Amino acid sequence: MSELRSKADKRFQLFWNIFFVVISIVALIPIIRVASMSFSSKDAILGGKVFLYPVQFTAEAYGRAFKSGSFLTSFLYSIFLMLGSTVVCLIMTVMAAYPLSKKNLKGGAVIMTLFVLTMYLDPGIIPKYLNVRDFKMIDTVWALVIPEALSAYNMIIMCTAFKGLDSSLYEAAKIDGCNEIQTLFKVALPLVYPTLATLALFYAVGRWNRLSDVLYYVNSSSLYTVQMVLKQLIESVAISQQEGIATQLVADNIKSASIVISMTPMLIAYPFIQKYFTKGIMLGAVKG
Amino acid sequence: MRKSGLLKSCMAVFAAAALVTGCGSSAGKDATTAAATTAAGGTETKAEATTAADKGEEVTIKVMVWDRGDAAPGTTVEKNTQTAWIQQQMKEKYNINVEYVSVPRSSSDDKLNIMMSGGSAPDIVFTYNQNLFNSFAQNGGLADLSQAYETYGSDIKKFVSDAQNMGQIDGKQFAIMKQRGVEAPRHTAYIRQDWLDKLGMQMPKTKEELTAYLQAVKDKNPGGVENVIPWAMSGRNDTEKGYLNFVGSYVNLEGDKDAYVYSESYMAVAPGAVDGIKKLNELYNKGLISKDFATDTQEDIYKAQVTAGNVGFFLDDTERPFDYISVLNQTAGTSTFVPVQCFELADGSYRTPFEQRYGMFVMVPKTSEKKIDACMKYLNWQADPEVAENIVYTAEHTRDDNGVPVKFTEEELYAKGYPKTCDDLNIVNLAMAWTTKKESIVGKWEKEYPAVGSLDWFSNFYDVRSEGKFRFPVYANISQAEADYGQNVDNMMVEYVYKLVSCSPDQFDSLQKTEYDNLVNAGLQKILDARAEYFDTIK
Amino acid sequence: MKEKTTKEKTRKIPFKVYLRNTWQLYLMLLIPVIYMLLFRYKPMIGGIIAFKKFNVFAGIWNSPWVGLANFKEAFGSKDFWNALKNTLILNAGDLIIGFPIPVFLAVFLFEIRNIHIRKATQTILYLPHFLSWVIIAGIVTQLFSTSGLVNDLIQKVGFKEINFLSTPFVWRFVYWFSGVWQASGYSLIIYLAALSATDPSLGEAAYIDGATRLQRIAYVTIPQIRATISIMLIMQLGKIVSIDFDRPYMIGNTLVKSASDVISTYVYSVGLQAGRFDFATAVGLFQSVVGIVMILSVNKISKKMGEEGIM
Repeated sequence: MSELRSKADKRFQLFWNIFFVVISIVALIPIIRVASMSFSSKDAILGGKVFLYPVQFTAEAYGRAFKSGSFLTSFLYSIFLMLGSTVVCLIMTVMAAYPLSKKNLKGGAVIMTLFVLTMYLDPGIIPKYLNVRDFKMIDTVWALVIPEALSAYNMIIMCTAFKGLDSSLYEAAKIDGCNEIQTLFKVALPLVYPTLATLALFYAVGRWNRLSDVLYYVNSSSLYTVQMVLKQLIESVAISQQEGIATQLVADNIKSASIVISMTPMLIAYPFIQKYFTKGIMLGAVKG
Repeated sequence: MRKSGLLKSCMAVFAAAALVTGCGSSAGKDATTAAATTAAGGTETKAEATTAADKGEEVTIKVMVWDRGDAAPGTTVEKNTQTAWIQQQMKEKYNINVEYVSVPRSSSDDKLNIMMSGGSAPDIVFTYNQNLFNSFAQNGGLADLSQAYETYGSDIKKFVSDAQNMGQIDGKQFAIMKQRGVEAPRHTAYIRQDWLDKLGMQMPKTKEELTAYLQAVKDKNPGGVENVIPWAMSGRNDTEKGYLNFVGSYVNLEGDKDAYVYSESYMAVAPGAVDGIKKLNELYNKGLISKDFATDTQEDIYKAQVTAGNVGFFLDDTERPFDYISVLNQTAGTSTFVPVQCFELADGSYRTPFEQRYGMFVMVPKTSEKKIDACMKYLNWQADPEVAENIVYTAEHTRDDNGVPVKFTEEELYAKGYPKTCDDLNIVNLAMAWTTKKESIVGKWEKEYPAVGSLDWFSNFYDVRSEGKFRFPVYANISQAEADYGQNVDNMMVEYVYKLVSCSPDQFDSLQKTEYDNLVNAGLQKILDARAEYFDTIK
Repeated sequence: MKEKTTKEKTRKIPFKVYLRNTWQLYLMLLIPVIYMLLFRYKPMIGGIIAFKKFNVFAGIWNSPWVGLANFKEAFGSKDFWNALKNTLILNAGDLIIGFPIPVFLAVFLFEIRNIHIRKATQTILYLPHFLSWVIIAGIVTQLFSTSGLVNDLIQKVGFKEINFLSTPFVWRFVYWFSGVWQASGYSLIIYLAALSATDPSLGEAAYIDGATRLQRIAYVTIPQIRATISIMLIMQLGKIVSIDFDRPYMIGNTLVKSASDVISTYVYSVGLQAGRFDFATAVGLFQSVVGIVMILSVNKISKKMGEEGIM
């Protein structure tokens, strides 16, 4: 927006800049707290001394988390799984959203309705498990990729993005002799980059954080994602009291360290994805 | 729509794809039925478990093992030094190949339910949940172990027989029970000895004396702390540890029948319990119990208060506070908390509910029926306390002067490729030789928690916590009402007590009636009646 | 619901020609549709356990029929209706309080020229989304307890302390606030992506015409992302009878159960904990049906109002 740098404009900018900085700080509080706890000693946390900065600074929690089992291998495996499944999800999403964004596609509305309804259909875990078992995917990596390969919610967002493109662009492409697939790749996709990037993020985060399918569909611990490994580390000790096994309380600092570790891939990837948001702004100007 | 033709061809394509992706990872199931037939013939000599006659045909069994995320680096919980040792032993002695299937510890029962429903559970599975065991057995999901138990369970009978009746339904053995180790009460009360000294008061032996102490703590603040909390409670809604022994002491259990009907879960609605809850309400409104304790659902505030030294008294799981007291003693520089018995019954004695002798229910799914004998041999082998010790502490362990096994440190375990919690591989017997000797137990505690107290402190702890040792009668039977409503009512019981304690005194009576009605609506009366009925039928 | 009436009805295209032009689109749709049928619809067949007394070992097909018994039990239970009421109240609050906030944040954030603050805010606001409710609940409990930071501030200003966590009515605000904290960043990204795809020339034209900034925002910017807003709204409305288990369970406690018990927590206590999958599925089916009815109606209404629908 090329508005003149009037006084009112400057005041506006200043106010909102401060506003957002304050909001960001408030939103950061839980994260700062978790990070501080992860660098504090277990005793300090038990004593309730830690709020926003580390007390009795130590990195032992991270050491402990990294030592458990095959942490490093499961971490790498989880990253590859996330990347791979995100690609699959994006492809599925585009393959569904692009045709459904065409107003004159016969049967399009029915198919769209069928997709939307899937968001409300949940028969519970047992039928879903039996279904995965019927396809012989239990205890394979496919059980972590295919059952959730397409989110109707995200597909709708993608569809909206396609619908927002000017139809004259498609006509121009047709005149140039492009068929649908070429139009998709040459014209439509480049224009919806921001949405693609956004959905990639959503799918990636969804896969990274999802535990239920790892729990139910997978038996070998070599297929556990790093979230599952960390969850076991934290939660299983709370139960051993009942069992008469003398294990020490898992320190809260290890819990916090696990949370920080599980957030890092996102934190690293996010700035790269942000780039595409800005690109979207520039490309938008191309629309006639 | 016109897609039918397309649909048929894509079904074909997809079917092909499914087959390809189906080339998965799970090992094949090589069951041999031969094991069952040789069992009948080759077991006349039952004297020793390791005679050649017991070595049957080669069988492979899959055993469940819990994953706590603490396998040694480079190993998994299914394949490590300890599992290798067990596999070698089983192969040598019984010609049985053992494979392990890992199940995440924290969602174990959920996963077990799913695996059983899908028919893909391992050959040996286990759970602590009696409801789950019962529902599997009643619905025909478990193999009948009676025959195999008779034939191959000699060591189980020898060492672990006490607990086995809990695994029987209608006279048939559907589970082998794991026996607990050290006998322990469920909950223990702790009090600040140093504050008692400062106040010049004696160790309370009755609830009245306790109340006097609590009031003195509030009025005089012997610790000189900013935020003094005479009696700290947390808002954990999955346990009654914060109040059960107190409220229970107001209940007069007429006999075994009452004890069984109410048992631990329903003590709070047993005759007389209301007075106990009312008393707690009184204490709460006088400011003697943590304010708004019920909102502290994750115990964070409770833990922080105890370790910060603001608390004069609390009730908790018996050994859990060792961690808090450790920290507190170190920061305070002196000894602080000691165990105390002060919830006297009407006749002046104490009633301290103890853990039952049985722990886990170890079962064989019906789908694994053909391997019952092999499974029983595996379990029988583990019943021997010597073997159990080798599993929990590894075969390389040593014993100290008291005969107590010395646990390797985490580094040592990891260096040798052992998982941190080898205990999970030991599923039958925790009652090793040293668990019955007070000296050994006391010595072990002192070694693991030196900051909590000296040998004397732990010796006193051992004695005090066991005063009034009492066990509720338990039976394997679970009524349909309890199977359907038990879990929910258990949760509601805790809510019932918390709400009544936290309300204002004038609302107590009316709230009590409403909340009790809620419990009844949720199935409480049906459960109690069913329990009473069952008791009558067996006596 | 076939929409055959397009604006080009004047030229009826023969089907063969139509197919020749569009077969590639159908081909693209093929795999997602197959996926949907096999992994979303096929498992629904298992939903019949809602009408049975489910025996895990007899399996879905051999378990005995009980007709509507499970539904009767749910509808006859006071707790069920209380849970439904709470679900609706909490979701309504989320809509009224939590829905507009990300829209406004996105719109004003988009106005800021300072790229660093923009990028940083975007990243930071999304972060709480990574945290599980266990963490957030732990922090919220400490902040809002009677001895927590918020009450400290309130008392310093001279007011009496407020029982945020033990009074059902006030607790709801804590619930809504925590939702804003956790989820605004998520919707914010969607709106920002939509904004970044809009045409800036319209806004400039308005400016040249003499509109103030706020007028431009109200009359140009927000309408430009109308489609996105209405779709997000429709989808949230469709979920009005559902709430995820974690949030009310972790943020709630025994004292506020009358406000915090929602359908998912109810199903958990009464159904899943006891292994009663049949009961749980029955309630789930009820939710599905209501959700479907909601979304179909809201979608229709939205279209009648001239907005984009999702179908």
